Amino acid sequence: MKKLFIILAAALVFASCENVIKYEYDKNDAEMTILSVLDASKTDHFVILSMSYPDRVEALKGASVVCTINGVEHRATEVPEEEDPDDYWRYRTKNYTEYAFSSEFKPGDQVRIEAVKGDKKAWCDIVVPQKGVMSQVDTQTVVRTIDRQQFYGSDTYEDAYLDVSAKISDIVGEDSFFTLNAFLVSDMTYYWTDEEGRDIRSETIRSESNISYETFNDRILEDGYASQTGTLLEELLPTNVNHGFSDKLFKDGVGEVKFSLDSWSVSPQRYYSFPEGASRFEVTAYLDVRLAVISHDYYNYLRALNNMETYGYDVSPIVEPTMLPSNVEGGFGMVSIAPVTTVSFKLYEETFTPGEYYYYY
Amino acid sequence: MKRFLIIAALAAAFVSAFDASAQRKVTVSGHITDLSSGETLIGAGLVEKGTRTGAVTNNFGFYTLTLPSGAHELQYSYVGYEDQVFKVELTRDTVINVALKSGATLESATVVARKDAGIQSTYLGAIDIPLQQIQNTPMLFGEADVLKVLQMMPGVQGGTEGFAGLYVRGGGPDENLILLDGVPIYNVDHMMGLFSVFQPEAVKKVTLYKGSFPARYGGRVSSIIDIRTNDGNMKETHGSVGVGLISDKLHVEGPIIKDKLSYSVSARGMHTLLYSPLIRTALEDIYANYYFYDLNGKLTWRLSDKDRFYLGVYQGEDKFILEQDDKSDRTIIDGDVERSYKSRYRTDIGIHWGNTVASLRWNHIFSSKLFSNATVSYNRYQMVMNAGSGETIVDQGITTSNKYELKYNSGIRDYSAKLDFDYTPSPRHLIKFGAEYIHHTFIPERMSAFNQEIENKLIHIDTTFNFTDPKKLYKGHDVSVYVEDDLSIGEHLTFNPGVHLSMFNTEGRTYWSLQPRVSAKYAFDMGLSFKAGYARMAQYVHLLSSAQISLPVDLWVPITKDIKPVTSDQFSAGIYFDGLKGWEFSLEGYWKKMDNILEYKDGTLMLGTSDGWENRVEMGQGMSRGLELFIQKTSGKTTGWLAYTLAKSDRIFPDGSINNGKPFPYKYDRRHSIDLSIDHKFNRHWNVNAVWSFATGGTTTVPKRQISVINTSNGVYVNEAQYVDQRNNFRIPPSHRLNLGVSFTHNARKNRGEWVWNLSVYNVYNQMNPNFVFTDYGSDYDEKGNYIGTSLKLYKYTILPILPSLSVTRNF
Repeated sequence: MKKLFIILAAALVFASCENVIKYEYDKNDAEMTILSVLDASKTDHFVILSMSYPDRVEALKGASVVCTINGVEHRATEVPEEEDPDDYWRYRTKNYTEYAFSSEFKPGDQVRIEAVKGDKKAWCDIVVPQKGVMSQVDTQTVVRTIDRQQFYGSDTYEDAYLDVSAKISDIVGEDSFFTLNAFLVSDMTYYWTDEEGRDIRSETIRSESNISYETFNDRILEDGYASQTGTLLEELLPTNVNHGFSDKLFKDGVGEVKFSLDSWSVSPQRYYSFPEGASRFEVTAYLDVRLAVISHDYYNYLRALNNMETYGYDVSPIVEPTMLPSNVEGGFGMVSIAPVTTVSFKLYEETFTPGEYYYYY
Repeated sequence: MKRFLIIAALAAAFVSAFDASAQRKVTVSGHITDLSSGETLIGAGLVEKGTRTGAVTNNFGFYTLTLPSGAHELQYSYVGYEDQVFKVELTRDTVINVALKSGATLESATVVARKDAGIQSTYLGAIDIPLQQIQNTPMLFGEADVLKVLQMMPGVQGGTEGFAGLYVRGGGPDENLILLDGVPIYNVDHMMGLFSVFQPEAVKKVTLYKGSFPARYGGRVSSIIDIRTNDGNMKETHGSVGVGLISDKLHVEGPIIKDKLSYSVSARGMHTLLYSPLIRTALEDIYANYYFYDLNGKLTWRLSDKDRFYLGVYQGEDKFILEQDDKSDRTIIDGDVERSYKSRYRTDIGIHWGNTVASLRWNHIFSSKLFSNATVSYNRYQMVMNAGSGETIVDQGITTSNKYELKYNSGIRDYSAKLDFDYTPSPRHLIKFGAEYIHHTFIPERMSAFNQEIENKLIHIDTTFNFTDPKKLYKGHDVSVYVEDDLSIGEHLTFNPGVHLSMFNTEGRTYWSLQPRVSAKYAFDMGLSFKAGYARMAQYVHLLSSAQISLPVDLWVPITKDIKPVTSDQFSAGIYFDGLKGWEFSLEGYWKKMDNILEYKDGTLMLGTSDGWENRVEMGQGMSRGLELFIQKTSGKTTGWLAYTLAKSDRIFPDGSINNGKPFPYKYDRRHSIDLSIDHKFNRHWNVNAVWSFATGGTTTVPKRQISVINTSNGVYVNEAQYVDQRNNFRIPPSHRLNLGVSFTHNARKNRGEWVWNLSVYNVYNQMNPNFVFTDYGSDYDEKGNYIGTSLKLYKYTILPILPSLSVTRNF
């Protein structure tokens, strides 16, 4: 009898049929993609090119890339691929190509980035936006008692945070869009001891890394996304991990934005690469809070990325598909040029010697 | 409320005075019923043969007609019944209750009067669905289905092929107000939409409104489906017992006190419900079952000619159960030591969802011109899921146990009170007015987990974790008033102006909506008429739906302080012809604009969770327009219809969070739909029915190419993504199928009722229609069958191929 039920159930399942619907596309239908996120306050820039096909993406080598600023051309050169022997994925084929150029941008500049390869030509016209104004940027270290309800019971502990708040001024006369990011900037100087016991000092090297927000519960920064301090069900929902937001919740021309960083991410307990033979190194670390004024197109692009970073980059039956905006003519892609306003805080100045063990966080 | 009634009464008095003429008027009124059962007939007509003025019975079988005093010849008629003609001398207001005799075949009724639906009515897009067609139309597994017959009406489309979703004139499935004896039903599906909850045996009348809505209806923007159930036979006990491929049915009705008090009971359940003990025995230590059932009950009490009471109850549910119990009792040899070891592992999963509806109505006839109906009702939809597992181990006398339970529930509960009046001051006016209050309680999903671990009587863990606020509720107060007048101006023109005013209060915010409705009909001689109308509708609830089919986790949620009510403005016009006896022709066009409709934003998880739902949806606009041709043969041995719909439906969300703010076709935008239904009665024994349906495919979203994207959330890096140019960018292939049904009726022994055998075949030519569509990467092979790589493919699942079924019904 049990077998009979199983056979009946199996018959019901297999009565359904799966068929391929005729869905034809030209596998060689190529379109150029231009990607670039340019910091207008810097001079060295990269443009990323690739060729998009219905079933694959390929690197685009040997293209002609020109950045024209107010009619003045700046030609970009292809960056050769460096093989990193420590890269686990070094044998894979990289499916994009970087092109580098140097130039300065200032608000109001008319910029065109154009790429040509064979009969394919794509370009993006963009006007450099005004610089954002950020005032009263404050930080405060706080210790919070966290009471997390877990499946196995309540989990209560104390944790330290660096709370950051910033007042951002609206740009008068237009809908404004911003990103607000935190960076750990480290100036590192290495020392070796020569045979005579004297210190040999390296050049100071500056490195910077993006710090993820630990939490934010801020209407402006949430910008319609789920709170990062919501319920477990809300954790299924995308959050604004790219930190793009608009001025729609600004009051009287000002928006106050607040977020928290985990204290570990800004503390000296970090791993720094220790060159062979070095006797010690000195680190001076800063917290940079950077405000960028971005275009509406790039703002929409970041929103699309928020969704993709949560649910994946492929179309899924349980997720509404994401429409990636493009501001590139003749192809696809996104180019953003944003003037960045930075407020910097010195975090610590430390000297490390071999044998000390530092956590990577 | 009191003020409203006074104003309405004054307006009515004014209309009466205005309409008064020199000749003395008398009013004839009463109920029209079926001769054999005493069942009231809805939409039956009365015509005064001299003046050709007439009236039609309302939803409770009541009619009223004011005539000049004197001699009159009154003709009473109803489709499928023999006409009755009375010569009467009217000198004062008179009550005439008429019982009509059912005819052998469907004969068209002579009606020259205002009807609520059909081409004779003033309303546009109002269709009475022939009950006989509902019962005879061959459907999936031979289960006659009200909603699937509705899908075959012009302007109405199904969602997923073979399922019961309704998409009316470009609207969504939550934009249809489905009323069971005047009470809204929230969940109308069983088996995720394969069947609807309405048992044809319990149904007396089904009316669809999709154009110029009568002012008495409100609350949804796309359609009103008014389903009325049997009152119960007042003369003698009758019923039926049926066995089909999927379910068993029972229907019994009869008098408790002849001509005074009657009952009607209908029950339907899947075989798996009735035979669950057998299944449990057969499956031994594991038990899995799924079933659904419906119970309809009604008591009708005719207290007097002026007062009638109706008590109706409906209960329907789907249930899935999975139980597993593993026991073990053994001795373990551990080196030289033997030890006893007992374990028991048990899993229980239960999910059930369904509606409970109860209503009490009181009809009171104040006078021959004023009829009232008061209704109080209770309506609940709930979904409950419990999943648990437990393990107990006794090892060398030490007991260790752990237990996990997960609970989920959601639902909606309404209490309502409604008062309706029909006032007929003269044959030229039929004024309907009334008011309604609904108290909604929305229970969004509540989810909790319980975990307990005990070792040797020592409790390690004993905790309940609430994923959501266990006390979270949304309340809504829904108040509406309406007035409308079906006004005859001269011989040819009828005009129906009306207004529906509604107010919805939730979370301290109040929304008002004034909804004007108007329709006009100009009837030429020879059966030709034109109609035009306008209706504004408002809707205060939304269904958060997870998939293309009806799922138990779909959630009804109210509008909030941020999400505004959906409104629609619809203009429609049409040309109609019923000058050929037994035939009706109509061609109707519409233009409909909907505001504040909701769609999930791009990249949003479509799980039916209400948590943060406002953040996941966007308000936008919908636009739909179409042309509908409807040819119906209403009488004779062969009846049926041909419906053709040409339609287009788009959405736009200017905010930019959906499709970058550009317009896109609606998911169920289908350009062409054709439905042909033919029912032929050869004789008293044999009846055949054929249905052919064709619909242009709906839309889906497929990726067009692979593309690089640049991320900056954690340093700059490049990813690869599927690029979608716009939402709903691919049209699914069309679906079509032919269903055939043959029924054979013969008398039971000693003429005690009859047997009805029905053989039906769903999807006769086994068309592989797409029930579900999805994209995935699939392998490619060359001509020799060698693998050459993978590529993106679009797959369709067909779950409803050719499906024959047999059912037998014993009528008594």
